[in-house]
Amino acid sequence: MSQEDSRESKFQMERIPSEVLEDIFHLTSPNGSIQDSLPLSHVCRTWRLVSLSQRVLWLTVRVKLGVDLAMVRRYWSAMKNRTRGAGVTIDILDSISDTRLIDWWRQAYPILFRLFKNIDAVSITLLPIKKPIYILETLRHIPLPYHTLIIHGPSTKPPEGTTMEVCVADICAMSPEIKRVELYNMCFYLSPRLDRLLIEELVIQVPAFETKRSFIDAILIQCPLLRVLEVRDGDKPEDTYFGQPLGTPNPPENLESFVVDRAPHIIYSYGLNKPRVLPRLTKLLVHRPDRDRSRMIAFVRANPTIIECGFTFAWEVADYEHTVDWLTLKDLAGVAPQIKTLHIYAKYCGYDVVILLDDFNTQRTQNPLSFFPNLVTLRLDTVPFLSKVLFEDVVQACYPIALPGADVTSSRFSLKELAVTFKDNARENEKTEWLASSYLEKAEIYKLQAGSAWHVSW
Amino acid sequence: MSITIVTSDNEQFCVEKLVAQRIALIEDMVENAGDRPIPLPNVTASVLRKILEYCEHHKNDPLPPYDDGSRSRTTHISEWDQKFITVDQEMLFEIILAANYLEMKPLLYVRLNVPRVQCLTACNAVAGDIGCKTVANMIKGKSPEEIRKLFNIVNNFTPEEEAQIRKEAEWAEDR
Repeated sequence: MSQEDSRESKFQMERIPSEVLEDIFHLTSPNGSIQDSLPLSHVCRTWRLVSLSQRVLWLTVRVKLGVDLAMVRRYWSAMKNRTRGAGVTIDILDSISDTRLIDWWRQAYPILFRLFKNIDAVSITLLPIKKPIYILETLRHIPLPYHTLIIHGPSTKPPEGTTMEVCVADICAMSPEIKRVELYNMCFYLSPRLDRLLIEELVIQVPAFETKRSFIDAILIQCPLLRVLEVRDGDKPEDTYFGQPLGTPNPPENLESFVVDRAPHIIYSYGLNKPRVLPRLTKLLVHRPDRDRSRMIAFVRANPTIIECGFTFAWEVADYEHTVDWLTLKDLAGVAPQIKTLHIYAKYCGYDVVILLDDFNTQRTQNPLSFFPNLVTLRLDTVPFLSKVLFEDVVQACYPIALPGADVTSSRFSLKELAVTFKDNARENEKTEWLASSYLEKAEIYKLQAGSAWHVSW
Repeated sequence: MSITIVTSDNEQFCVEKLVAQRIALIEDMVENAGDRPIPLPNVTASVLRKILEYCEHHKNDPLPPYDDGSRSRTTHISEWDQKFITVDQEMLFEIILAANYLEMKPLLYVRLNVPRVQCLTACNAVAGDIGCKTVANMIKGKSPEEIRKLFNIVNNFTPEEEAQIRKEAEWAEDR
């Protein structure tokens, strides 16, 4: 009898203690989304009692603009009671015409913000027809401070004459306590007044249709408190990408995590070939590293605080021709043996990853201590597709460090996690991540589930 | 070295100590029991047999790290665990109950007391916790009526509560 077939089940659900039910509910609705949580509270009195007692199940307040206000008031009141004063995410789903949006907000916001006085984050999802000016109009009606602002633009190109572009300085000015800004499918620019922005975390995913330059250099100058900067803008032509290095003598001193698709000059060098030292930098991921291999190597060498690092690597295997003078795994191992988490970006459907790992293992076996003796996690990132054969090759390539009793002296290696991030459909920006369990055991099976991404088990 | 465990239906199991020590409750009891059998009055033989199968397979695993809330979880279940937990529903819940009683965190689920912002971080599976994950996977995407049918749960709401629930469903429908 299957688990789904309970016709003959004699088990009485009443025997399940409430603390176990709570755990099950947290797993069922991990993001506190009402869509996932509400059905739990409608099953029976016990489930309702338990689910309503768990405020983490109710912390996302959905606001769909234009809905009947009387009904919305009742809905928000009920949700507010369930949050018990905890910080919530206000999730605004833009859905009506522009004029009504403002009118509706004027009536709705006093109701909403009288009920919810503790806001962690504001998230806005824009329809393609909307202009970014309405983001400001919407935010202007939020009278309470919040520390995270998330804006989702449309994934399709906006109509002629409109643009999905926001000024980071303008949206940051909407709440005095904003520390983190996330922009997805939105273009951005900084204030021409060169205001200093006090945000600490900035995550940007530039839409695929955007061809303008990204001014990462300017961000680093204008946001001196940044601890986290992640800018993903895909594989755009290189000459459309870079802002000109502005030559500031002030390095982003607080930067701890830096994730970009292409390397901006300012992060690597100051003056003529003098590598920057960023005293707090622990994470450096550059999808397409600087073509000046020596400059990349000098930068990594000058920053021994980096313990998580990733690039698209070139390889040095004789049988394979490599045309780009990016740094190799061996280069990185030579200057950063302290690395604990290594990301390898794939270029050619995983072939390059297999070649790299084979090369890596061969050389490591010869001289094991020179190759990341502290490595705990290996991540294969943005793999477009990994065939059965290639996946098995990756597993084989990992074996020497993945399993006890391998050829190399396993005590010298501490690899515990292998993660593969698939990017199976770039057009839809779909990315599915699978991460191994807390310790690596062995590869057991892989399978392609119909209608979903690769699912890998260990 | 082995120890003897006695189940609620009075069946005795001679278990390798390394295997038995995967069960937190037994590990605590071994100290005081000496050579005497360890009674498990809340676990039947058929359920203990399953649990020992799990312990035997995982006996050499490192113990899962203390869950300080910094690791959020997915409902991913490894291949062996998936096969292990493919049992009828009655046995599934008996395993969950027994794992809860025996304080077997991996088999049950590491208890969660996590600030929400940490819940939202990227996925990272804690080994095990397969019972609750399996049930969560069965629940996801189902309507209340489907959940009731799945687990043989009686709808015991009063008419007034039913009316309230209908309203809530209406609010949530298009919010």
